[in-house]
Amino acid sequence: MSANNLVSINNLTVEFKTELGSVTALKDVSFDLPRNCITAVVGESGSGKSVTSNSIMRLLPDSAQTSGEIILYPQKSEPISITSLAEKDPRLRSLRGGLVSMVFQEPMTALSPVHRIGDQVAEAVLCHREVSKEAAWSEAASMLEQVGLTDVQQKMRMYPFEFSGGMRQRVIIAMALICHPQLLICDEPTTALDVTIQAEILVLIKSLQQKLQNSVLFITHDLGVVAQVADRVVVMYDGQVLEVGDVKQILKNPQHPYTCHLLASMPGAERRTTKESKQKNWAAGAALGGGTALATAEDGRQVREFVR
Amino acid sequence: MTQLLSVKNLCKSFGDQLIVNSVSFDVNESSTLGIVGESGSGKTTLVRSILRAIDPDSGSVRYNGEAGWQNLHELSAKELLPLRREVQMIFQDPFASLNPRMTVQTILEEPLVIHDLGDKAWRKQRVMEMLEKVQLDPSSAARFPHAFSGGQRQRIGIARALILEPRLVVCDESVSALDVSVQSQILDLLKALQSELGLTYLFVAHDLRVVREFCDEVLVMYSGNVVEQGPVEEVFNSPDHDYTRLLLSAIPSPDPDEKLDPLDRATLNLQLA
Amino acid sequence: MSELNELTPGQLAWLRFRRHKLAMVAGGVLIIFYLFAIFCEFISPYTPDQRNARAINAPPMDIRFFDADGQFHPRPFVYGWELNINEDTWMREYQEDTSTRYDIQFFSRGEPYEFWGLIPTERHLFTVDSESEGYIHWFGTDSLGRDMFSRVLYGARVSLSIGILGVGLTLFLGVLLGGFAGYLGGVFDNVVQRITEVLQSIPTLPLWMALSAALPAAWSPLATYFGITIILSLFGWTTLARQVRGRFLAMREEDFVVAARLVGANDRRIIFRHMLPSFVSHIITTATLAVPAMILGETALSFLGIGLRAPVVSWGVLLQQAQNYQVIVMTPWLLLPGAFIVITVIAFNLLGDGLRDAADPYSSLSKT
Repeated sequence: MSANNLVSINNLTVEFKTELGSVTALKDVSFDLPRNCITAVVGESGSGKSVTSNSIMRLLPDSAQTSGEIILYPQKSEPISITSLAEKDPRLRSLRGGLVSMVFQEPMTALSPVHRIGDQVAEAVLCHREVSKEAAWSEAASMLEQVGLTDVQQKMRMYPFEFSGGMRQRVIIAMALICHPQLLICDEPTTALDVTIQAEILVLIKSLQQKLQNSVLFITHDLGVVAQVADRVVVMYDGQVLEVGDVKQILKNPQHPYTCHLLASMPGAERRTTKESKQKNWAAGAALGGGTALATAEDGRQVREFVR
Repeated sequence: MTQLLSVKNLCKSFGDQLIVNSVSFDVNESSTLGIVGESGSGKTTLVRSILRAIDPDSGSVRYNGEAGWQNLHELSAKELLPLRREVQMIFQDPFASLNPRMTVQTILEEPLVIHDLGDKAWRKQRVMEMLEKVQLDPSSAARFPHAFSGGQRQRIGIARALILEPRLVVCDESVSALDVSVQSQILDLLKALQSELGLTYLFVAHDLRVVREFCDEVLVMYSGNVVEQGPVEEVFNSPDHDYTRLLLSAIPSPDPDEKLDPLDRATLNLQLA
Repeated sequence: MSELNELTPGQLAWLRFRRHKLAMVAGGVLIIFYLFAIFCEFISPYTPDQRNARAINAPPMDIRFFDADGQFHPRPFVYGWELNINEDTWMREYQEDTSTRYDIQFFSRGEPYEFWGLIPTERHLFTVDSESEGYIHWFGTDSLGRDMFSRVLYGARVSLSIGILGVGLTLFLGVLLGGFAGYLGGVFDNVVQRITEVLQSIPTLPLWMALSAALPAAWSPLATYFGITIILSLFGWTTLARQVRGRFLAMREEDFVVAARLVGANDRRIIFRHMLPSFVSHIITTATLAVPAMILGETALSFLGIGLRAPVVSWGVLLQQAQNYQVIVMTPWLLLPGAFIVITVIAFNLLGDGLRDAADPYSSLSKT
C-alpha cells in the first residue's frame, strides 16, 4: 500500500484541552494521500479540515492531544511516522518546507514586507540545501517563471507591496515548490482572492501538479473549486470523514446525505438539477440532521470555535 | 411596476482616486438588484452612499417613499429620520455588526426605541415576532451575540433590519462570510421574507453564482464603473462586455466535466468607455 | 460547554481574566498595598516622625517564635538591640540583646494618632508593650531613629494615591480632549493634535523640574501634593488623548456603530449607548498601565528633591533620604521603599496586561 500512497492517516483523533473542558476537533480520521494526485478535503468551518493539514505539518498548539498515526512514505527513503517524531527531531525540519510545504490563505501576510521577492524565494532554497547564492537565485528565477511570472529578473528585485494579490499568491506557491516537496498542502489558497484571480491560480496549481508529478492536499470549502482542481475528494463534517472517493463519483453520485446536502446548498444548484432532485437532496440532508436541525449543529460548532 | 429608487450619475472619490464613477440605475419595487464586482470595484462605496453613510461628491439618489420622491442627499438629519425606517441594511460580518455588550433583545428593540414606537410590552412582543420570522428560538432574546453561530447572528442582523418594516433593504455581502449550507438557508429566508413583506433588495456580492440564483437584475461594476446591467439571465447568458465574460468564465463549476477555462485578460478589451 | 452561551460579556471577561494567574496575583498584591495605604496609621506601630533615640540606623529585626535557647513561644516576640561602638572604626554596631523578650501585642495601645485625621485613638495593629523598654522596627530605622516600616506605609499612602489621582486627572483631560478631537475632527482635532505633539516633544524631566521649582516653598504639604499631581497629569494626558482619539475614530467605523446610525440613532445615543460601553474596558486598561508612570514620576521628582519634601513622607522622599553611597554599605534597609516601588510598578503592568486580554469581548477562551 505504501507503494501508491505518499501519506496515510490512520485513526487520527485530536482533542484540544481548554479550561472549560476538552473539545474534540478530529474523531478517528483515516484516509490516504496517493502519489501524483490532487486530493481535496472539503468541509465547512469547524469540520476539522485545517486541523488535519496542521497535524501533517505538526503545527498544532500545545493544548492539542493527538492519538492515531500519520505516516509519510517519501520516495527513496524510509517511512516517517509524523505523529511520533520528537519536537527536536531533525527529520521534523526536513519535513517542514522540505518533504512537505504549505500555501496559506492570506497572500498579504505570508510574505515579509521588507525583503525583495527574489531574496525571499532564494532564501527558501538556502534554508534546505547547500548551494551558492547565485545558484539559489537562478533556481528562484526559474521557479517564478514556472508559476507564470513574466520579466522575472526585474520582478525579483521588487517588494511584495508592489505585487497584486494574485501575483503574491504565485510567489508563495513558487516558494512552497522550490524545494521540490513531495507533498504540497494548500489551505484555502484562493479564498481571499477575486474570482478571476482564483481561476488563474486553480489552473496554475493543476498544471504544476501535472508537470511536477507531486501530491497536493487541497483544503477548501467550495465544491466548485473541488470539481475544478481535485482528482480525489475527502468530505469532512464535524471532525469526521464522511466520504472519500474519486471527484466524479463524489460530485456526480454522492453517497453520503451530507454531501448531497452540500451540493444542494451550492448557489445555482437549482439550475443544474431538477426541483425534485433538490428536494430529494435536502430531504437527505434533513435525515442527517439538516435543515433547521443543522442550525443547532452549527451552534455547537460555533461554541467550539469560540472556545478554541 | 413602481420605481422605488433612482440613482443618477453618482460619483465619489477619496483623495484623487475615483471610487465610483458616474453610476446610474433604477430599482423597481419588490425586485432584487444584484451588484457584482471584484474587490475595489466600488460596490460597497456605492451602496453606502445610497444609505448616506458616505456623502457622495455629485449625483443624486432619489427614493420614492411614503412621502413621494425625495432626494436623499438634500434631506436634513431630521427629515431623514422617517426614511431610515424605510431603508435598512444587512451587514457582511455577522460578528462585527452586533454590539457585543447588548443582549439580542436590546439590539432588536433599539430601532423601535429610536423611532419611539409602541410601549415596552409591545416592543417585547415585536422582538419575539421577529425572532420567529427569522427562525430563532424565543429564548435567544436574553442572550448576548457571542452565544450565536455566524448564521444565527446573521439572522439577528436580518431581524434588526426588518423590525422597522422597511421597503428597501441593502444586503452588503450579507452571505459571503457564511458556510455554503448556512448561506443557502439565509438566502431562502431572505427570499421568503421578500415574498411575504414585498421587500426590495439591493444585493451586493462578489459571488456570481449567488447573484444568479438570488437576483432579478444585475449591475456589473469594474473599477468604479458600471460596465453592464440588465436582467440576470440575459447578462449571464449573453454578456455584452468583455469584463462580464471574464468574470463568468472564472466561475468554478461544481461539475468536474465542465472544465474551468478562464479567458485571458490580455485578449480582452477591458477599456472603460 | 453550552453554559458559556448564558454568560454576560462581563462574566466572560472575568473568566478570561482569571486565566491570567500573574495578573490575578498582581491584583491581589495591589489590593493589599492599597489596604495598607488606606489604613496606614492603624497598621504601622509608630507615627512616621516618632524617634527612637536608642535605635539609630538600627537594622531590620527578626520576628521570632523561638528564643535564644530554642524554646517555642506561641506569641511572636522580638529582642531589643544592644549598641556597641566598634573601637577600631568608631561605628555603631547593633547586636541582639537576648536577655529580654518583648512580646508583640495586637490591637494594643501605643503612640496616639488621629485615624484619617478625624478619629483620635491609640490603637495599633501591633506594637510591643509601650510601658516596657522594648521597641519593634521590622524594617529597621533611619538616621533619626524613625521606624522604616511605619514610614514605608505612610509613604505608600502618598505615592499610591498620587498614582490614582494623577491618572484620574490624566484620564479626564485625555478622554475629554481626545474624545472631542476624534468626534469633532476638523480644526479642533488639528489643534489638539499639534498641542499633543509639542507637549510630547518636550523632555519631561526638565519641564517637571522647572514647574516644581515654581511651586512656592511656603505651600503646605497638601498643596504641594496637589501641585505635583497636576504637574504630572498636565503632561501625561497626551498619550492617553491620542489613544482615545484613535480608538474613537476606529470605533466610529465599526459595523455595529454604523448599524445604529442607519436605524436613525442620534450622536448622543451612539456615543453613550454604543461607543462608551465598549470604551470603558479599554480606558480602564489604559489607565492601569498609566499608573506606574505617575508613581515613577512622583518618585523621580521627590528623589531629585524638587517634588514632595519632608515632612511629607512618600516613597520618593524616603529614597531621597537614602541618597548616598554610605546607605548602600551601612544601612541598605533604607532602600526598601525602592523595592516597594518596583513591586508596585510590575504589579500594575501585569494587571494591565491581564485586563487588556479580558476586555476584548471576542478574544478566545483557550490557552493557546
